[in-house]
Amino acid sequence: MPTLAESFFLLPMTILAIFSCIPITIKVMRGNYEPSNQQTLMISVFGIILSGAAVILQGQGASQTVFSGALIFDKMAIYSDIGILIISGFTLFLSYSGVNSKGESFAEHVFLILMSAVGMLTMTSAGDLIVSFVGLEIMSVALYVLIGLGHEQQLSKEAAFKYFILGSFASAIFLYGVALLFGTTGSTALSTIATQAVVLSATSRLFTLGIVLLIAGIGFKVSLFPFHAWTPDVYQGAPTSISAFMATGVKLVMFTLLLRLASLHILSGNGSLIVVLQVLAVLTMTFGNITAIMQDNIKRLLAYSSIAHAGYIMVGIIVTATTRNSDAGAATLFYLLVYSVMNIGAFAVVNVFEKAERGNLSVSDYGGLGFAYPMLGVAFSTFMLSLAGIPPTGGFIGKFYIFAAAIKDGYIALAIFGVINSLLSVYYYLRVLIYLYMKEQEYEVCPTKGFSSRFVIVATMALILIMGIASTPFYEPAMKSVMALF
Amino acid sequence: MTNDILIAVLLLSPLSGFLINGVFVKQNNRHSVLAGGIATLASGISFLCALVLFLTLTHQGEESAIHTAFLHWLNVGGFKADIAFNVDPISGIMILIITGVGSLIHLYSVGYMSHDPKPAKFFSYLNLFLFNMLVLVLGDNLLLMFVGWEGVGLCSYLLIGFWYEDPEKAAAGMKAFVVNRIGDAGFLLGLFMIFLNFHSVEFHELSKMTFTPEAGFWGPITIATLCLFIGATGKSAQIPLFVWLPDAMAGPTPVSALIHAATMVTAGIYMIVRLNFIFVAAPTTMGVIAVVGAATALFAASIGLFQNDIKKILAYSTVSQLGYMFLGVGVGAFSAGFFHLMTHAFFKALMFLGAGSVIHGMHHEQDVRKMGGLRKKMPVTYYTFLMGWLAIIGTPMFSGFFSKDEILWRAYSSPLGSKTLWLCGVAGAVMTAFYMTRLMALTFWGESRVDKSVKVHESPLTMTLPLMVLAVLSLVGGWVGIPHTMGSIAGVPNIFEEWLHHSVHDVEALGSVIEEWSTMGISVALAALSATLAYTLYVRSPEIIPGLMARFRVLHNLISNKYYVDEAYFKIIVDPIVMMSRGLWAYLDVRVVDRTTYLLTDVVRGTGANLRLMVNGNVQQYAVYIVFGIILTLSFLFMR
Repeated sequence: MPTLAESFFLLPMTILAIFSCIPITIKVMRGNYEPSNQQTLMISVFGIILSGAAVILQGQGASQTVFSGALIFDKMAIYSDIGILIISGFTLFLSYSGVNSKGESFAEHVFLILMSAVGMLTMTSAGDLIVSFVGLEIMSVALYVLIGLGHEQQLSKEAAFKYFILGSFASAIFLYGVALLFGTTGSTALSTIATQAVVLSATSRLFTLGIVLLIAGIGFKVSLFPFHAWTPDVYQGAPTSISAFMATGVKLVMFTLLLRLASLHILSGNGSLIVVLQVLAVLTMTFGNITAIMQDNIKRLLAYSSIAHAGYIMVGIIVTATTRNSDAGAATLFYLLVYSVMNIGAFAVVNVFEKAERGNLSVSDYGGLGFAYPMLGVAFSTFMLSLAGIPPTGGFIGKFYIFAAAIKDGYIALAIFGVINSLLSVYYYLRVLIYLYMKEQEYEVCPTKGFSSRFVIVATMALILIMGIASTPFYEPAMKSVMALF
Repeated sequence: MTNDILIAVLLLSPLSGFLINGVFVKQNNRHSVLAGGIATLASGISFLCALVLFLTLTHQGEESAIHTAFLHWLNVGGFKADIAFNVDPISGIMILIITGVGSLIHLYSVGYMSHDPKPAKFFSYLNLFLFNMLVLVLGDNLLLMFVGWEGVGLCSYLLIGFWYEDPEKAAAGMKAFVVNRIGDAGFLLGLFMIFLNFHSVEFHELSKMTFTPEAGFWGPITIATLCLFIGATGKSAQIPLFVWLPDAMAGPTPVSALIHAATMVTAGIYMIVRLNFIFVAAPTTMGVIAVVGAATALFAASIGLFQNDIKKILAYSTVSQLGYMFLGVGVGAFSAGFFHLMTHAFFKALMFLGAGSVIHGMHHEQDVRKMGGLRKKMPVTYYTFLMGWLAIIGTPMFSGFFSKDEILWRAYSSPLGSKTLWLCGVAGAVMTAFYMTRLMALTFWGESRVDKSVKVHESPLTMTLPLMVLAVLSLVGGWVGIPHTMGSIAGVPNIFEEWLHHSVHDVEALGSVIEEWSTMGISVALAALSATLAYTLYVRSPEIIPGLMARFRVLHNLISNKYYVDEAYFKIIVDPIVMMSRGLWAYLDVRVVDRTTYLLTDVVRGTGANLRLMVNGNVQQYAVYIVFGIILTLSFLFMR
């Protein structure tokens, strides 16, 4: 029986869920006369802070498994939760500036974003595949609507529809995988599955099929090759803040789930599966990088870049799955955080320059902006350098830890592919810098006014530089949380 | 805990001054007092922190040190470096000099830069320099020291080329940077060698190890220390890397005083004193240091004899005085070398600032031949400069006397020293007395040769106040380090040496009291003679000079052209490298490297163009990819 004390662990999600409802409730109660967008933003940010406080409070204690193993509140869940809350906060600020500049209502955005975050928080703590699935659906359904809320009418609706169709398809695959695992192991609890994984991987093809379907479902959300094809279309069509949310928050939770599976050695029973995963990782990064080279639209470019990064993160997952060493896991968690921060920053800059009437900017539109808007130029350059993995940014340290862990555990080929791919990626990241600083401004592009996007840009830039110079405060918690898993 | 905060404020105050001036203060002349005020305040706060830390240190017992670790910085494969700082007797004195003299020079700059169009930029660089210098001296490992080492190099470059519109000044900045790079490479190699051999770069760990002295050139300690010494020759302008310092005078004069006289150029000495326990284990290196120091002291002093630019004279004098410091540490008298570092910081900063005051009052005239008789027009500058002059030529009871004499005595008496080294030192001191007196004579004494159109004026109080403080320090600054032989008569202890006693392991001097007194007498008498000679020549009977110059034309040409060192470096090193890189660029780079990379990009872009067709917006197709992905995976898994 769930006790009251166990319910305490649901506090972060409960708080978020309650706060997500406040703005729209006020709107309904006052007869469609809603509070100002600024008030709405303040309410939602307050909710995130409260929820964060609850998470940190939980983090003080030891790891807990509650509701008969359905939810796990360990250090890794706490680490990811904090990441999710930070990402959601940034997303709210970005959304606010996008919505506010057009005088639209913000209350629905807040509801959907926070609800999506509730789904994410559920997923990071899931100790049972059914709970994972519930979290996944809460998160995804909110996202389907959010994507369709974009002002770019046709593209946005098309993107929402595509993501919905394919997302449902992927969810079905995921669920089918869960069903097969339940059929072979008699449980959906991760801990039970883990105890039987080694034996069943060798004997039961159904079990292997279940694992593959599970990975395909997750692979869809993190845009792993060949489940990635939706990514550029959807990122381009969605409102920029939501693209940022999907590129960071969704990937963070899905990879956390994958990391949990990996650390429980559910993936490593079958040697061939690891080979397949390696091939997929390399294909993902190579495909992402090579296609990104040909992109002119900045949001598509960032979409392909996020595909490539999924490949790098897969390297960390694969190493974690086959080792008893916590280095790779810690590196993966750390990289997820760095990746999220630098991507939000990059999207935030796009958000500022995105003009209402022209929609998405192409890379050439950034010509000369580095000198016209020094602060934004420096920030954008920092994010590009970090994405390319050049010191002194967090992106460098993150890649360094991942590839170092791969080499340490003998995955030298993977590390080499990773480094070659990083080299490839420098081409298109630096192309942005070339436009910023070495080309003339072609026509007037004015950044939107307002503090919120700029706040996000400054905060993420500071974080990226701190992570690049003094990574310990971020890496050590990751290390501790992964060490607790083994 | 309080100490942690003090160290943090000490470091962060100039850093925030840099950020505020660099980001928020507008670049125009109207804001010069604001920018200067912010920078001076930042530096003043640092000084207060340094003072409190120093006092805390004196209250702690012997072998005391304040250690603060802020962050774990790097921890890769056994290589550990924290962001940790250490205030001990050595770095305690350094931070006092850096922030104390630094604050005075900041204050002085408010007046000096009052006509400059970009004061905020200047002050932000100056603050950044202070921060980096503090990191250099406080850093608890070689790597952090290297961060500061590079940082001060960068600031030095930025400030030398501060008036970069003038190509000559920009080139001077570049020269300083490039020459320093050579030294920095040496420092890095030394750092790696030390890590390779002793598996640590942290000072507090290294200082606990025992180093067995080794003979010859090829021992690991000798090579490591020699590499570090190459770094020191770059930063502290010793033979063969001294060429950048005279050119560095292109920067604003306060910069010359702060960076190129009092603080940055002494970093090499500081590094050797900090690592004295390693250096003593390499007698060969010590020998090299002493010889290079003595040679530089003599060589630079001789060039100083016939320079006509007031700042160039002081620059060569600085190179020469740095030579003395190296001579001191090279014969194992670390505390004596370090003592000279301190007194030199006082009197040389004073003389540079005095020169700046003269240049300011003369409306940017730097040629001493066009000065003369300034004593009456600029009395404060004159009397303070006089103190600096008395100190540098080694007048008894002035600060320079105690420190220089201690070095000379150690060079004579230490087991690592020799009579030849001592002779070189004395000869250098004689020349120093000559060129400094010449400088005084041409600038302040005698008849005025100032152009009638120039209205000479005394500098404002913000500039003269620092001069007065430094003048007092130039006099009394040496009293903390009175040698035992003299001190025992008056019953005064050698406070400075006792202070450093536990952190620095001097090589004991051998020699009798009589020898010490007589060597001292000889050097003072010779210097006095030389000063009198210069006075006679340049004040009493300047008409003899052209005749003398004609008689020794060859020698005079050689010296006044600085022995053609710059020209030789260009012929032997720079020109061949430029030629070679031209060739490499034209043949290897354009024909081979460029073509290969273009080919590669074409291939990659071509692939990309094809791959992007995969994503064509067709949802059904995307779903098919997913299905194929799963089927292919499964078939691979089940076929095996």
